[in-house]
Amino acid sequence: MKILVVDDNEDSRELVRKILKRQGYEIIEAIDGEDALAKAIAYRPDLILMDISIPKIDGYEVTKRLRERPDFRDTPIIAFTAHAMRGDQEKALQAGCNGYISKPINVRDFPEQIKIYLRKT
Amino acid sequence: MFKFITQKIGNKLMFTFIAIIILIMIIEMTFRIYFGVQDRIRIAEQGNKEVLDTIYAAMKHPLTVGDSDAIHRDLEEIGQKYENISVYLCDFNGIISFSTNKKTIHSNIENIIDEQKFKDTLKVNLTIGSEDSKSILAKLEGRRNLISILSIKNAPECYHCHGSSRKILGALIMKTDVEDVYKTVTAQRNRSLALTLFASILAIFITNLVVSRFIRKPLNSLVDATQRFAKGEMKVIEKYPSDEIGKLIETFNYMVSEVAKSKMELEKELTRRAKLLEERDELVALLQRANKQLKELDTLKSAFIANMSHELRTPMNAIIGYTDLLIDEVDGPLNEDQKTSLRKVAANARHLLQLINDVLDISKIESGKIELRPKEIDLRHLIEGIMATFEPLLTKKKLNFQLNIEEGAEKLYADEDKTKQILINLISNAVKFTHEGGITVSARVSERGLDKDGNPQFIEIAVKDTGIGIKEEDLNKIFDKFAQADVSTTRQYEGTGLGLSIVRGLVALHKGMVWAESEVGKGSTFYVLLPSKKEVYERNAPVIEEKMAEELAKYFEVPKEVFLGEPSYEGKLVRCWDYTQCGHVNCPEYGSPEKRCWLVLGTHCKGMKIGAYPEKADVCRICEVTRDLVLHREPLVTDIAKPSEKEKVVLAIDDNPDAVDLIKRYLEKDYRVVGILNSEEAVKKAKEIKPVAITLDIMMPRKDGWQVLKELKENEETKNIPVIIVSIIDNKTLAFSLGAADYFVKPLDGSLLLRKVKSLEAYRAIRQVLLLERDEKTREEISRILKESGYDVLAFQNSAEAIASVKTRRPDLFIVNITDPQNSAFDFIDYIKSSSDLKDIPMIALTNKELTEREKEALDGRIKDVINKALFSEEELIQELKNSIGRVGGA
Repeated sequence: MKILVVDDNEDSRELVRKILKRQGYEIIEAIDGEDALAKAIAYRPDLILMDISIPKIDGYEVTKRLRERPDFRDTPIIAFTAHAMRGDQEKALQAGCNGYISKPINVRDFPEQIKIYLRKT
Repeated sequence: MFKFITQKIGNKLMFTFIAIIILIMIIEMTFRIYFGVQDRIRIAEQGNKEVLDTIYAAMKHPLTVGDSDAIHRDLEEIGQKYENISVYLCDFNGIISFSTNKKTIHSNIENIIDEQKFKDTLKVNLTIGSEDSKSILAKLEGRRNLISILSIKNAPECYHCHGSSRKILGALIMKTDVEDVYKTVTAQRNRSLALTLFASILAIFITNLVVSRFIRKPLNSLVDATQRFAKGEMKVIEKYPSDEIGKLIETFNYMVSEVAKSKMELEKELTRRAKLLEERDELVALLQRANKQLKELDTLKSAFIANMSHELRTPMNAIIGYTDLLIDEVDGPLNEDQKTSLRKVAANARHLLQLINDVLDISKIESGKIELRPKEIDLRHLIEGIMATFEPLLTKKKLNFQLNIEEGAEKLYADEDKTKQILINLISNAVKFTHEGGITVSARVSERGLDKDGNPQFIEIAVKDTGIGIKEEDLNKIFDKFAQADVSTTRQYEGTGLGLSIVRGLVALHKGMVWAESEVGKGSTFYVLLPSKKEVYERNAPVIEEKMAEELAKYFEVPKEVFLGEPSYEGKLVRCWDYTQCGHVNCPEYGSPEKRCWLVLGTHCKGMKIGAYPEKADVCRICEVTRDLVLHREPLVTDIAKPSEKEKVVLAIDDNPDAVDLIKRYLEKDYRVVGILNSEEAVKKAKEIKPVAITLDIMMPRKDGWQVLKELKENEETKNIPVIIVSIIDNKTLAFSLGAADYFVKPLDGSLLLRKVKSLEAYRAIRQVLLLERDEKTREEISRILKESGYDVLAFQNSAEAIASVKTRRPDLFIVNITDPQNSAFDFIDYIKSSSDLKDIPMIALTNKELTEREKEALDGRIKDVINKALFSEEELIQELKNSIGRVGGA
């Protein structure tokens, strides 16, 4: 299982990598919107964790563009952000995200949350 | 033409005059011409007749005798004498026998005078005859001739020649050329006509002049002026006659000047209005700009909140995540101590996160960024969902949990997330502060906030615990930000201190209310009113029900009707009673356009102290109108009870109730603080309660602190009360010059304030003053004044005496002249310094000169005030000394 982690914060990426690697996932990392688009198309991950506030192209836009492609129509994309305003969640869902995990994450529940999204699709 | 006449009075008059003159002229000429000719003719006829008679008389004899020569001679004579007269004598056949013109003899007269009328008349005269002569006017050869005919009758003397058969013998005809007479008459007539014409023209001219001068000109000028006036030209007519037209013009002038005057006033008024309008427009534009800027700021604030949220939570993600990874020994095993430490890191990090979340929630509530999405909620389902998360904690703490929802209270109409947040906050508080027993959550239909038909529309949810409870006085504060009941609780029970603030804000958004009841050691109950009806959100009108009015009526000791219907205060309808916008900047609803009743739904307002509602209902201190509503209550006094004799009272004057509250808290251990928010009542209140000290803010509306200070110091009753300035601005010089005792710049240090008030109070206890002054005159003068002011004075002229005195007595104040070398004041000061009993007594130093550095050093910390005697006259010195005693109270 391949998971693309999009986050401009290195510590955040590493934390996710550390947690998910233990669960046996293959982790691909992207540091901005362009990188995310390129890596998503190149690696075809099974799930994308998408930070919203990222440089170059924001997470909403990346999600929208990916959803326009037939091969990414069903890939679970999870918004992954420190924004906690009510509108942010809705915006993420509107952009085409399947779910929303807000930072800071709960290390213990996180793998389970990911598993649920992978199972759903 | 006709128009020209009818349009002007002058012309009308002129026309009439001319018409009359012409008429008179015509009549006059007709008469003259007609009668003039007639008269002439009659005169001529008469003349002719007489001449004819004379001629006949003269010829009668020659005719009788047949002396034809004589006749010829006579006629010739006549012919020569009168050129214009021709005389003919003809027989009965008309054949001329004699004539003035001999050529005509033997010709028929009818051929000479060939005129029909004449022929007819002649015929009559020659056949029938007539007694008298007949005259005929006839035109002969273009000239007018008067022809008179006289019949010559056959008389007896003539029978001898003519026989007696014939009656008429012939006729004497006299033809007079009257052409010249006519001409004379015509000339005369023409002259007369010319004269008349001339006179007429003169008359017209003069009339015209008169009409012009006296009628047309003034009238024209009046008409002109009137027309100009109609066009808006405000000019009076300067020259005018004194007749009726003049009067008319005078009236017109008066009217013009009146109209001009009012027009000028009107114009002035219009200009003023225009200016006002302009100003208003400017203000409106200004407001619009300000509004726009505020909106921009608001947007910025929102963006800032969002950014802060993101920026704060991002590092928290790494901190909490990595710590948890370490605790879970992902990176290798840890020993117990390391684990314990890391758990503390994790717990504190979560606490910090909670704090961040709460702060963000609060700022969102305060900036109005929270939008409710109310819908129908099943309360049981909601609470059971919440309780599931508390289950482990309840089990751990061995607490039981009960849920009682009465019939009819199952459904709320509220925002689900927010309701959840409210209940989680209340329940987690209950769990946190309860160590044994349990938590009961109950819900029932509220009898508060009924609609106007008396139908309930709020559900009252009560969260009851058997925890540590809250002190009565703290109930007011717990809904404030960062206000746990007391500091020790914060230490013991972790919490952000924002939970209840958030609850209050969220409840207020639902137009509900929240309050608490508690008993220390037994537990607390928190009540929340949340709507069950959609209509609550749709209507802006508040709901006032009888029960609340009763409670308020009891509290304010006024009839409950005051709180029902449309109350008025001093004749004015108090709109605020129905709807009001909160004016408190700290209020989450501040700036919201929504108007609500401060009583029923005003849970947002800090001044409400809603925590203790309704038993401790208090009005919103900020809203003046609501203040007025308390009717005859002392307005804006935070503590209205009269202090008892023994109580020491401090009067705190500050327009900000929070600042008053703070001072109250700082001093409440030793003083009762009476706060007033309206600076205008400061002096009155000070006189009334006689405080030991006054704290005074400077920047206040209505009357600033400087003014209050001046008034306090000018008033005989209040001038001795020490005033401590507590202000955000720093202007100590002005404060002290106005007589302030001390100056604190905000933020206020509470313990320092308390110490200051205490020392000031000590100053008031000054009874005995020790005076060390060598100069006898000065000593006696100061002693006298101090004694007059009620002090007990011990006066000494040297140190030794003074030292001896303080061995047995303990004065409250020393006044020492330190610059007179002979009284060796420093011996005394050194003695005081060394005595633990005396060193705290304040001291005022008198000097005659500027102090040297050494002297200053020696005095350092000892002297409370220094008075340089050289700078003051004797009188001023005494005053200065008094002021100094006032200042010396300070630590």
